[in-house]
Amino acid sequence: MNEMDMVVNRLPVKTWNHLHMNESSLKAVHIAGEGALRAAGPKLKPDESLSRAFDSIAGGVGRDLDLLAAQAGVKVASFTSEAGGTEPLKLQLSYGEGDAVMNRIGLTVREGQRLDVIMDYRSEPLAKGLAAVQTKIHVHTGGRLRLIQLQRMGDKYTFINDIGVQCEEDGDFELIQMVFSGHRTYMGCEAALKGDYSTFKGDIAYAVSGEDSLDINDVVRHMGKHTECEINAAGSLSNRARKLFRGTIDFAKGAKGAVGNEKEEVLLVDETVVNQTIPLILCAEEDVVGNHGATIGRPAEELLFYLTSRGISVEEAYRILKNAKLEAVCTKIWDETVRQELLDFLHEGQLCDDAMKEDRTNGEA
Amino acid sequence: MSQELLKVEQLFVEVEKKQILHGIDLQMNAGETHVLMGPNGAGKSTLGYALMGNPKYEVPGGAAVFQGEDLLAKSTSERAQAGLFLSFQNPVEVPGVSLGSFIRSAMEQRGEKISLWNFRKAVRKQMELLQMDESYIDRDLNVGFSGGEKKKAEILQLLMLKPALAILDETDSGLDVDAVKTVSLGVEEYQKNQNGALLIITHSTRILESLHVDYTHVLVNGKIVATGDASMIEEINACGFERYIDRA
Repeated sequence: MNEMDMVVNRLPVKTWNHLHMNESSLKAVHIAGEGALRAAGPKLKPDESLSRAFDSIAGGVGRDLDLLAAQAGVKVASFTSEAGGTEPLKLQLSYGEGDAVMNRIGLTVREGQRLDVIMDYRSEPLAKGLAAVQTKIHVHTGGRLRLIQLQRMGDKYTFINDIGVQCEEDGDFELIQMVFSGHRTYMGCEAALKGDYSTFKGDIAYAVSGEDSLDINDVVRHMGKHTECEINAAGSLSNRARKLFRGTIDFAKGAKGAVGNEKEEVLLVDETVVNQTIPLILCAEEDVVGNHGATIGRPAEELLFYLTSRGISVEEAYRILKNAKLEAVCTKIWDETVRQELLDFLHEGQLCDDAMKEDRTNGEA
Repeated sequence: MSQELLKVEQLFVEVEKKQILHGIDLQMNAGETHVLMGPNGAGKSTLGYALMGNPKYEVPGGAAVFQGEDLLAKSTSERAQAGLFLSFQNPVEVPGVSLGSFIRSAMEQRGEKISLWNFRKAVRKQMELLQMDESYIDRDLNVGFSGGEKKKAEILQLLMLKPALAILDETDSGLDVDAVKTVSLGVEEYQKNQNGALLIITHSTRILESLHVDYTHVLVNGKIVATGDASMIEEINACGFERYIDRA
């Protein structure tokens, strides 16, 4: 059994070591095989060139994941857009107890074409295991990829979700990531906006509670002229949860006229949570605009008063506000079926809250 | 004999250690409509907030009994569940929470189970009365609503939640003539069909034109200086508050 110690989600430029935000580490990671990938929707042809060049596109989680995949012999399942295709490609990975699996997925959008993809990761609520998914994307000139990733993993699952994307001229990449549950989640996305006028838009929503943690590393490299990016992360932390968000906008020399914005909104439900945020803007070009903003804290007294004045308890008000962070991103989901399924999931109280977790733990004991 | 709904005795209220209300006495029976008038800064809204339990408003002295129970001992949500409602002058915006899901959550928290179908049917009926576009039900609560739509959304909540006593805080302020008429229709519906009691806080009289008013109180400098019947409204409308200011 080959085990590997990994460094993941490395910040492109280091900050103070004592802050423990430069990178994260995973000990003795072992991959036993590939997860059972179910694909539905259009029958798309593979792209052998992307499969061969898979490692040349950097992912946000970092190179150690490429090494782990090579060590475990994980193959690339690739999909290429078709002219006039409108039906979304749906990829589902369901994990079981004791899994230690990894998948590599390649997505290619040919010149002037469009591709919509929905990736759904889930496991049984009490399952324990480790899963990793690497998605590498190449958006050719004038192409557009819209990707939705949904994560509903068990309370004891470690999940590594890596994305690497390369956009050519006028290529657009839109990403929506929703993290509903999972014990240890490491998410990284690196987008290289190589072509002029290429764009990246990322929306991340999460609800982290209990002893769970979420570790994010998003990097956008503006290389082409007039490239644009927007990163919005919003979520809630409750009951000892931890979250670390690294958001880097890197303006390379020559990226004239590029614009990058990143924004984070974090609802801290109580004082036991640990929230770390490191927005980073790197500038090697003068003619650029970069902005970052963050709203982090407990809900305003005025807001809580308004909600409770309608007979809603403080606990329920917090639940509503936690769901609101997810719902705000849900409404951006372009697939009506998925959007409605998630809204129902939230409205019916299926989002695992602290009380549910305690019940599960007590039930196990 | 009328059923006593609210009895406020010698209520003192402070905001950031500054005393705003200096011993308010007020008694209301079920189904009655009281109007609380007074010049700007008199403390009218303070009374509404204090009764609803806004944590910014401290009550160092006095008592308030609502439906036979100590109101001041209850949390804000418990006060609402007991049947008290406050219509806000400037309701906050809540992104990610639709107006419909918010009202339904509030109904569920009050123990009222209603199917989505029946809820939609009931809410549609009230929105029609208030001349609100149905799309507002799925819009984020108060986000991007005009001043008039915010006030209508408040009255919609009043009609759906059916409280025993509604405090309307300057509900007609900032509304054009047509909007006042529409909001008044909603308030009238609540007053007539739900036998709801009203404490209407206002310094204008437009919203009162179509309502039956039982009592009028004038609040000046944190004290109720006069109480009378509906005829006081016309008198204040004609002469203003000047004659009451000296009484404070």
